[in-house]
Parts: sequence; C-alpha cells; structure tokens
Amino acid sequence: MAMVEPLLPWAEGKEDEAPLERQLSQLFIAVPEPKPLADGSRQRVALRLRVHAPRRMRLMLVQLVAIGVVIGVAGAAAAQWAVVHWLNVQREVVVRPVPASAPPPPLLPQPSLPRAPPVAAELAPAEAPPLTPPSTAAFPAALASAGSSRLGQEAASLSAALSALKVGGKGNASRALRAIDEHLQKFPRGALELEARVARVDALLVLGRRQEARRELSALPIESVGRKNELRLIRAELRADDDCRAASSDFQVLVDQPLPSNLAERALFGRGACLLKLGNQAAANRDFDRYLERFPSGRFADQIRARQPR
Amino acid sequence: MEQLGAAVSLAAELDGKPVLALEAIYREHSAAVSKWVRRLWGPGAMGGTADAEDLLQEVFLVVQRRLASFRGEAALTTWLYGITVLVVNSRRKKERWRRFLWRRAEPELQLEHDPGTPAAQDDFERAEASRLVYSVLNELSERDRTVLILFELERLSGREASEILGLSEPNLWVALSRARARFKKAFARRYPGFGAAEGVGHGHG
Repeated sequence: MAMVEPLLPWAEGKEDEAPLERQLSQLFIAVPEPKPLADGSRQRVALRLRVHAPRRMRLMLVQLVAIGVVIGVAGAAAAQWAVVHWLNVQREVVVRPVPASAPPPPLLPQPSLPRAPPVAAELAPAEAPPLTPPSTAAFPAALASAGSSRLGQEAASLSAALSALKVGGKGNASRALRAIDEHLQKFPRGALELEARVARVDALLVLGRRQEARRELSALPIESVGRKNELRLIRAELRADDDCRAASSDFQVLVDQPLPSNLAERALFGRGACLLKLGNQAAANRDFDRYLERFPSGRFADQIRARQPR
Repeated sequence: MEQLGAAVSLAAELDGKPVLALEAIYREHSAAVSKWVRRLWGPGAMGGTADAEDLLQEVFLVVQRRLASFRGEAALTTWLYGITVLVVNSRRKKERWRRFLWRRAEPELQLEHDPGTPAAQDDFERAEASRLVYSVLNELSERDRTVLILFELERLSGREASEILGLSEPNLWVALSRARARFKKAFARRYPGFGAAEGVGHGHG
C-alpha cells in the first residue's frame, strides 16, 4: 500500500505546506456548509413517505414500462428495416442473365433489319460482373435475431432462395425457383410476397421461360416495387415478343422520364423497334436517330446503323 | 458537524417498532440527511428544492426497506449516511446517462436561484469556492469524489468515513491520498493560474 498513515483534512493544513496545498486548504475551508431542507419541505416528504410511500417506486415502474415499450418498438422497427434493407440489397445484386441458349424471339421485324437478339439477352452485357456468391455475413444480425418472428422466418426462407439465384446458372435458377415456389406456398400472403414474386420472375428469365415470366410480371403491381422502372422495361421487352402495342405504352412511360443510361438506352431502342414493327417507320427512325445521338457506341448502335446506312 | 459516533442507537430509538421507528428516525435525522444530500450532490447540479426532496424521500424509502436488517453494529447516523451516499451516487449515475443521452452539458451553478445555497446570503466568495471545488470533484470518479467530500468537506474522522464507505481505515487513507493526488492534478489542469492572484475564498474559515 502506498500510504497507511492517518491524514489531516486539507482544511487543517499546516503553514509549511506546498503552495497548492495551502490554496486548497483555504478553498476547502471557504466551502460553506449546506443548509438542511426547510421544515415545510421535510414535512412534505414525510407526508409522501406516509401516504405516497411508493411514489418513487411507481415512477420507476412507469419509467421501466416506458423504456421497455420504447426498446420493443425500436427493436421491431430496426428488425423490419434490416429485413427490407437487406432484401433491397439482394434485389440490386441479383442480375437476370438470360443465357445465350434462350429462344431469341426477334424484336425487330425481318427482313428489314438483321435478326435482332432478344432484348433481354442484350441486357446482359458480355462484361457483366460475375454474380456475387451468397454471403451469409450479409444476413443482418437484426434479421437473425428476428428469426423467431414470422417476418424473420419469411425473410430467412426467401434469402435462401435468393442466394441460389445469385450463384447463377440454370441449375441454381431451377433450385431457386423451387425454393421460391415452396416459400410462396408456405407464406401465401406474406409481407415479402411481392419480393418473392419478383425473384420468381428473375429465375424464370434465367431459365428462358419468357412467357411465364411475362405472365408473372403482368400480374405484379410493379408500381409498388422499388425497381419499378427496370421491371416495367423487362415487361415491355417481354411484351414486345408479340404485342408491340402493349409494349409501346410501357416504353413510352420509360422514355418520358429520366432513367439511368443503361435503362434509357434499352427503352429508346425498344420503342423504336416496336414502332417499326407497328409500321410507323418515320417515328421509328426518329427514335433510332435519337438513339445514335445519345448512345453513339451503344450496344444497339451497329444494328441501327446497319439498317439505316447514311 | 455532528459527530456520527455519538448517534443514538437504533434499538433505543426504535424500541422494536419498525413503523414508528421510521417516523422517529425521520423526525430526528431528516434535517441532517437533507444536508448530506446537498453536500454529496453539490451545489447547482440539482434542480432545486424539489430534487432535494425527492432524494430525501428516496433515502428514507431505502431506510424503510432495510430497517429490518439493521443490526445496530454501526451507529444509526453512520448507517443513514451510507444509504445517503448510495442513493445520491446512484442518482448521479442516472443523471450522467441522461446528460449523455440528451447531450446536456454539466449544469453550471445557479446559486442565485437556490435559496439553500450561500448565494442567497450574498456570500459570493464562498459560493465561488464551492463552485471551484465541486467543478473539480465532478471530474473525479464517484469513489474519489465521495472520499474527498466525506473527509475534506464533511470533516468526518477516518473511522467514520471508512465505516460509511465500507473500507478498513488503512484502505481509507490509501484511497484518500490517491483521491487527493487526482484532485490536485485535475485542479491544476482546470485552473492553471489559480492562486497567482490570491484565489477565491481566502481568509474565510
């Protein structure tokens, strides 16, 4: 031990002390003694003790209940946010690579234009980054902790299906589709039903089942989905297979609004191609000219130039 | 300062009737406890009389709960002081959390508005000394702060302070000397020029 000798209070300090000790001694002497509470105050407390003895306890109980409610609400909100946020991330990561073997229904009429590759196939550029393998770490802790809730179970079930889809390849897409169908059977009207149905569209596209994907997509309220522009574009491209009139209205909505360039490029080309199919060559040419102006090295530029030698 | 060792024993005061005993203890000691509450809390950091009343009530609620287990080994006032220390320190911890959560700064002294403090007596120098001392005490740990308050401000004996804090006397001296060293360091850091101009509070005693 550093010191066991009894000490004197600073206020009783000696004259030969160091300057700081002397100053502290004077300072501590100067600190006044507090006054007791007035009689009236103490009588009030006595009354509270006699009549309302548990006041503080009640207050503490109310505080505890309030804290519990706040923590519960905040926890539920955090878990829900985590689920939604995580699913949004998953949706952004999942790409729909339509394999080259998919049946390519021509978008542009023959023979005025060389056979156009399927629009959806064109959407998967050769340099597309490999799909991110599923990461269990990406599954948020809040989601795991919510595992006991129905929403947590639903999210966990869907995440397994999405993970298979993200790996890529027809085999995985097939497995993902089965998992999604099981998921939809298990949670028929679940909070994540819409996300599951969008994932189903993704899987069907990977498998080249365009008609089924189109039917599924047509039944979806795409306005309620975060990727509504992308889904509208896919729906238009699928409709363009045999119903350019319906597809044109979707392309029209897309062309009229600011979009990321990869979507804008597809929408403009798709509208031009549909106008051409519908026999409106002048309007189609305007779209193709506009396309070449905006995307001179776009993925459809060569195809358009080949048709319109200038 | 009332000498704690001279307190009335519980057995004599209560005569085996706990309900009446609480009233008797309150009647006899509530004034002293309210002073201890203010001493331990420090000036200005409390919202005023209402907070002091709340703390006083809290102390006696604990007294009520623990009365049955009080064996009278320590003097009643020492026991009461120990409970007061626990209650005040517990409330200080809660206040620190509240300040942290609400990003509130440590409130400065508002002595002018507190009739129980020396400012009401127009004793500016004493108020200033109190502000200086507590501003540094509040930077220390609860243990250092309490040791210094009990020994340096309340001027309790080593035995009384050690009983209140549940320490042996040798340990108290060790704790006190360390608390003093930390106080001096914090004081010199906070008030580097103090004393050069013959500081506040000189000449009072």
